Amino acid sequence: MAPIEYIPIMRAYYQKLGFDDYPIYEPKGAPWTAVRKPLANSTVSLVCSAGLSRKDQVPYDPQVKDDVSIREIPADTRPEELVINYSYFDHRDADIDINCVFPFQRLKDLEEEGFIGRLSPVTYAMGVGRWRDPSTPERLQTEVADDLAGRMRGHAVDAVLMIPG
Amino acid sequence: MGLIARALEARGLPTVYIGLMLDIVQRIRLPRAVFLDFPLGHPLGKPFDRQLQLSILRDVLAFLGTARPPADLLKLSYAWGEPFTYVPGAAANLQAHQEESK
Repeated sequence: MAPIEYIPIMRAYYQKLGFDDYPIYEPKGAPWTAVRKPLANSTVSLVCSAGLSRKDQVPYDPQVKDDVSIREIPADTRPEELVINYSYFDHRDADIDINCVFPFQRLKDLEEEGFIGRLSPVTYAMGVGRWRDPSTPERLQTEVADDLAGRMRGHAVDAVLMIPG
Repeated sequence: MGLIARALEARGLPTVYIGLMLDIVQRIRLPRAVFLDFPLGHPLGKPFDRQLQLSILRDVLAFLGTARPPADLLKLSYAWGEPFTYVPGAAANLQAHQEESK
């Protein structure tokens, strides 16, 4: 079976909701940083935008728009301390095993088996929601990226696994 | 998320991105993207399938070193095993129903 074509589905849904379009950012080039170390010596971090948070943090609003805030999820967090706040995808499976979308325990397993050097002691959750403010893409690429990169440098991160919601 | 992957890469951090929406992943031109033909909400597959989750992660992380610039897309061949669709709004309705029934 061919993969689902999401763009027409999302366009039609957005129009039904009364929005003009389903905007997709289409850049020309791509920035590139070569890996500098073997994985077995690398500190790997994780960023997931599935709108998850720890129960002791301010949750993401499932209806949110343009939320560029970051929640730090320490790698030793217990899975039962995490909650998915989003409502735009079916997360019943992730509710019972958070590693379906946020595989921090499996990354810890890969650290133990020596496949990666270590999982960064802090990982990151985001939940931007829909973009309505035209400044959101620019903010994500400047202030948010600067903030995240700075936090990661503080933990000597070598590579980042990115998982959208 | 794609924008942040690109911006982190521009700040000296190699990234690899797991995407479940192939047509969108192809448009947003990421440095290193891995596609899995799994339903939304399951980038690492099925719950409690530890071996599958580990296998996917090994493939995805290995791509950090094997991807070729300027932008590379790896399609992994894991199969979900049953047909699936995406109905926007359905998950929100489901959640609302669950909240009401609490």
